[in-house]
Amino acid sequence: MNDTKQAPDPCDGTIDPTVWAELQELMGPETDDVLAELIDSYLEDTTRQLTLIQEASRNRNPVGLARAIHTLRSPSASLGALKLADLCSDVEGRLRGDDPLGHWPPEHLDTLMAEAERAMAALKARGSHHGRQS
Amino acid sequence: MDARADPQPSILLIDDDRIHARILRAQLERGGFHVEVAASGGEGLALARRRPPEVILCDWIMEGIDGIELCHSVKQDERLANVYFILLTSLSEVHDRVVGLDSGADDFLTKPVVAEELLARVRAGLRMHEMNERMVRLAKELQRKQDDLERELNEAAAYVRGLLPRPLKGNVQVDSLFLPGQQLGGDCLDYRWIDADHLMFYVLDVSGHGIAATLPSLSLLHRLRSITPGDQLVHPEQLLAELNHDYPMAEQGGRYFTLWLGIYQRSSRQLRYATAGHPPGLLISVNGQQPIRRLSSQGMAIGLFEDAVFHSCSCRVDPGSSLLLFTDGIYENPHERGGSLSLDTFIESLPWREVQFSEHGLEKVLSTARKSMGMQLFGDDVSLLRVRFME
Repeated sequence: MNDTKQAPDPCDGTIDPTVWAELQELMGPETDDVLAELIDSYLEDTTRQLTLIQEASRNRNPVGLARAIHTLRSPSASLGALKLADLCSDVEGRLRGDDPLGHWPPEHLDTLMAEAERAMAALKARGSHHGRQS
Repeated sequence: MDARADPQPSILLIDDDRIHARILRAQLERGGFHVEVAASGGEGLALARRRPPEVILCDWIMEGIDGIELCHSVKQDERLANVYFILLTSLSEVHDRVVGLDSGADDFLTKPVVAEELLARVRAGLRMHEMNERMVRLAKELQRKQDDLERELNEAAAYVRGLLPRPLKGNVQVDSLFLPGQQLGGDCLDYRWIDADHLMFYVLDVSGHGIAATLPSLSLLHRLRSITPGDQLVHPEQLLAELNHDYPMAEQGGRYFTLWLGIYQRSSRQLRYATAGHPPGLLISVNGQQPIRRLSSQGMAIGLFEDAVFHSCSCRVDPGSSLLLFTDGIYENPHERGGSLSLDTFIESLPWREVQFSEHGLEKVLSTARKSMGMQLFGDDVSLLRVRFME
């Protein structure tokens, strides 16, 4: 179980090691299967949310953008992508403030997208350590 | 009573964040619970209705039907009202918890959820659910027994009524009215010509209520029906002494009874009567100075004391007189609500002309008493017996 921690992680800092360790501990004997399943779901959902984010950004749609970012936040936090989750809260807050179109695209959106890509890559790497090819 | 002793306590988890739902499910399954997962409020409600779970864990903020709305629907549904409902929330404002509680939520769990707390709260929820279920089972059982008892009492009341005599016509007319109380009060009455010259009539009231009071009263009815012409017709007090000997309280489950018994001899116009702790009989004469005379002889209730002494009295009955016998249910109310009348007030308020002259005199007595006591139902049995001496 611990070999995951020892494996080289190409995106150190993207996935919070404490959250990850807790997840592994909580899942018990079925850890590998469940984690692989979670990662699969996360990659699938995040890919979809990133497309929606790009679309909403292009269409200058603050409501749609806020919704997509909100949806991305919680699962990211659940799997330890805390930096990404914080960025989601930050950008969503700006979008829900006054005059969201005053500064478009919103500040830190690019950073958020880049961090999301990093989180996906990091989780994908972890997924391959958990026995299932994602 | 560890909830986990149940092989499959079932938890319904409703969360539209499938990553979060999967993590919670894994934690709950590790805790030994059977978990069903619904990805939306609508799906969750349908699942719950199809197979009611013991505990629902539901995210507050969801697209479509949110946690509050779902909680409300669950608590409104009779079959699901006992499900223990835990709302998952990242909101911790007091106001939001008030909204949650008002919608019927039983507990809250703040996100991010800590596994130990999750399992502890679910276990607490299962205990509450089990307790509620037990209460519901007990309440149902109680209701069923109450219904059984009521049915049995109604059947017993119908049985007693079936044993009561038909009105007597002729020169001496007798009629009666028996109104069983809500619990049956152990009243009984009877009248018959023992021979061509002697009419026997009585009203009795066994202490206590229910079937247990009715059985002795039926036994007395049969005993008194077996009387044949003899000395007792002249000495009703001897009959009372015999009953006192044969029905000691100790052998009757602690029950005793009061009795008013009269024997009227047609040829001599003499009424001889003996009473045992019973309210007086009321003799109403047409032209007397005292329209209502109270007939009572000394004597304790039957069954109380082994060596009790009974007496009898006699009086001449004028043509056109009427005699009214009754049990205390007509003026005493055993329940708190509605006032009891004193015997004096009851006698003063008696519609005595109707008692004497009307075909429906006894119904009139009943309705007058009901009005004076200010209530619709009598708590105790009410028995009335009227003898009209026409000749």
